[in-house]
Amino acid sequence: MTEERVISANKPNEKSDHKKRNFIRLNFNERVQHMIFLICFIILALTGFMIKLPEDIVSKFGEAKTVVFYYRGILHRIAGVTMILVSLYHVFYLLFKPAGRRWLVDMLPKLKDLHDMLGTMLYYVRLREKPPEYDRFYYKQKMEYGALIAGATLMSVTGLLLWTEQMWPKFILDIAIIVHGMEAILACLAIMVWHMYEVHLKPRKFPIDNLWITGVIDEEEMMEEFPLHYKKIMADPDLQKIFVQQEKEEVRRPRRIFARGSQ
Amino acid sequence: MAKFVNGVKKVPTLFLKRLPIFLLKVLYILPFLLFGIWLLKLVYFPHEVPQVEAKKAGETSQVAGEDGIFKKILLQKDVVPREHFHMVDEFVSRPETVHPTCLTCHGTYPHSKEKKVRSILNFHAGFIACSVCHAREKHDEHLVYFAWVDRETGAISKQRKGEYGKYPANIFPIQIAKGVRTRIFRPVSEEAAQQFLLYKDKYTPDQVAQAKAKLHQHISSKPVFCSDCHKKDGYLDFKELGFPKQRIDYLNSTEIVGMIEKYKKFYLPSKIDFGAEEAVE
Amino acid sequence: MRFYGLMIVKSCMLAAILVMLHTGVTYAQGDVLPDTENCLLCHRYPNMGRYDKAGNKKIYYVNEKMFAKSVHGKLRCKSCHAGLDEIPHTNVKKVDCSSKCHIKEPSTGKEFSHENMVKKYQRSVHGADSATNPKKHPEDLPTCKYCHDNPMYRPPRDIWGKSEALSNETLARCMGCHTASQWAERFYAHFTHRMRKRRSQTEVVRLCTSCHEDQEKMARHGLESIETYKDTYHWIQVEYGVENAPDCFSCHVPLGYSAHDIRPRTDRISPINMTNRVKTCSNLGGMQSCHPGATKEFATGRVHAYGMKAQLMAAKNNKNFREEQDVTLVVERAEKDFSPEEVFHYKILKLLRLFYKLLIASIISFMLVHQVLDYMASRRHHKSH
Repeated sequence: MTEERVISANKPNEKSDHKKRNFIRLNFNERVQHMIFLICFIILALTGFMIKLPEDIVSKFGEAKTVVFYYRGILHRIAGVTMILVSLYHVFYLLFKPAGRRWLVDMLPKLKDLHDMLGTMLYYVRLREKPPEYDRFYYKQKMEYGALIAGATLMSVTGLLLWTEQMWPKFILDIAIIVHGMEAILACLAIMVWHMYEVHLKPRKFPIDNLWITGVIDEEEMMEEFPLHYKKIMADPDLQKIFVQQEKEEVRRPRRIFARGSQ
Repeated sequence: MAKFVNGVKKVPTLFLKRLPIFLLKVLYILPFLLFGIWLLKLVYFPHEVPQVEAKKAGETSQVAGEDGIFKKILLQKDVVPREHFHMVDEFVSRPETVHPTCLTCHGTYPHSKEKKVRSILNFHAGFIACSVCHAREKHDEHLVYFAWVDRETGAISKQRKGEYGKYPANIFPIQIAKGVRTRIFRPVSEEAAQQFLLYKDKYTPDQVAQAKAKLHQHISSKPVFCSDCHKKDGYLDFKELGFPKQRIDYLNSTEIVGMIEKYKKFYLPSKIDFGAEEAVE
Repeated sequence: MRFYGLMIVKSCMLAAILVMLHTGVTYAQGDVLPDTENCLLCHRYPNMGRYDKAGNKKIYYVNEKMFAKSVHGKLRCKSCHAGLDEIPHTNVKKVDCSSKCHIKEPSTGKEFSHENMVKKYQRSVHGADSATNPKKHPEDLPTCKYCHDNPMYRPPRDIWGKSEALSNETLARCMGCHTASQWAERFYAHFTHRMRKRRSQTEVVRLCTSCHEDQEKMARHGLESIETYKDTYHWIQVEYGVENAPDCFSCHVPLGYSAHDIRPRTDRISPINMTNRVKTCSNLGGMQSCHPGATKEFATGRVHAYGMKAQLMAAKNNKNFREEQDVTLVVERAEKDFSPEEVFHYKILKLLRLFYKLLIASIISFMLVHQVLDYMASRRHHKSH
């Protein structure tokens, strides 16, 4: 109960002059990384699964199929290399940039995540009235991030192995083929079920959460989704400098295409 | 959800408001859902990898012997059998809308008994309906004459182009009633044939024989033979059928008939030109 | 599929030829047969034929125009169909491609015959039942006609003008001296025919699979069906029509030999013999270097996916294996083909696949349940506000 009171105390009074604050979730650098990774991922998925198409669909390409196949291979490699470079940059970013280091610290799994997860489950099945208060990254995001790192590493390694196939024993390549294929399927399914739901299909997010372009969310959403982090920011002026958008001019979140559910 | 107020169906506005979003969501999800299902299929049902265990040697050959040939017949659809060396063309497998009823049971090559002439008679079946030669007795009762009937439309046609049996028409007997050409004369009705095929399996051998006799009651015991046509003023009036004179002479030549009738052992006749280059026009 | 494989190949060629006939190509002229034996008197009629005792269709029709345009177009019927002087043709002999056919082979002046090819073929893995090469089921093995129909001289439309050898200019140089244009064109067609692959990769694969995908037939010879090829990247390339993509011939025909010389893997010249593998994969000296830097480890691996034989070998440790399986040829050959190491590899790969199947199933179902709950919860939450 006390926690709730804190939130309501901090809640900006709509009628007052108090300006709406936007909270930075992704800075410019991170948004660019996300964008490149996203494009690469789509290209890789499309060009990669093309070789699994059934025969009768391939035959419908007609004469064009040879050209299609040629560019498929080239595109897949270009996108793959780009993705590896972005991933390497991200490691550099995590280790050598202050924002990156903060990201890394916040992203590290903690005991609280386990509690959060349990609490959320209880909340889902109505055994708890409120979801737990999440910090900057909650357990879902951490799991997704971990899966991304593991997946990208496996895909890169096996991809490079297959690219330089003549140097390796066939057994290694056989393993690489299975891992590359299965991991790709796993990644696509996970992205579709986990991530796309989160940013597209979730109530009030449809058709898309603008976060990936603007990088900010408003105070209301911040309070609702990351209450703990919100409280931490509000209590610490240093953090405010980082996470609260400086208001040079009136920056507003682009209007949603559809009105939010029933309010 | 729907409530009746004053007899008017009232749908809650909330539902209406959210309907387009719901539809959009469905539209949005659908491609991903299909893609996801396909991916799952790739993992769990990749394709029919041969899971069959090696069979015992005896088993394999037995199976092949039991249902091999009949299974093959069912599966064989190729017009030209595998291992046919000579390139043949589409005329071997021409689909025909109007064709003699007999072919339903007797197949493309109905003649098989008489070794000497079966293949030769079979090629005649490519452009002469069976009833022309096999239902001659009936001709005395009905007034019948022979004409080319289009394979596709069934209309009597005079215009024939094509070479050596590749005509777009077949010769059929046509019934004439009161001086008007009525219809193609069919000694066996298609319906009867279909019915027979339906009941055939239930019949005893005796019943089959009975049915066959009934089915073939209008079929002559003595069909028209080569020399009945291939002679001057023969069974078929080549002129009325529209053959040019050169071709008629060729068809009536002793060379053709003699080849079949006279020679037991013979040396194939060397090329005699009766204007064979010019097909029926 | 297995029944139509060859049919498709044949009908593709037939279609090409029909197009050629209708467009009136000036190439390889002469569509009227001299027919000095007057065989066409009867055999020109499309319905000439009968059913044999087994119920198979025997087509006795010969298309005059197509035959005239074929490589055998200058031969008389009796050159191949020996005997043949009675009606019905009961005394006709089976066509023997190794017989001599009264055409002079210009380099030796001797009578021409396909005997050389037939002899080579008999020595090959497909050769039927010769003294040196005994076979248990000779009736399964492909005869000449299985792969060859009467080949037509096809105009090299696709490659015409793309090389100096195949161009109007070159043909014109021949015609300078050889003024009988029909002869010159035929001769030119004869050797340009050999300057390119007769069949596309897809056609080759279809031809080979028309037999090799028949599991029962292959089991009689101790082989597994060829589905295993379709699990390779090689096939995907062929499927997409990549130029010079590896078809069956690329790896199974010894370098410098023709398709008639396919040998078993134990043979010294077989390109899939372990001693030749590096050369085969790198294809040094061939048209195209496929894997130029191929190492021995890479080249000696299993190219086709693991199939039935691997399954059998993996199940071999079962105590009842012998009794269950009997000793079939497949097991016998699998024991020769598979080293214990490879069986181990197969097992690992199988486990890996199983691991991923479980992993994907558990992760995705967890996620699905989680998201559905989340959806319901957030709907609830927003409604209450």
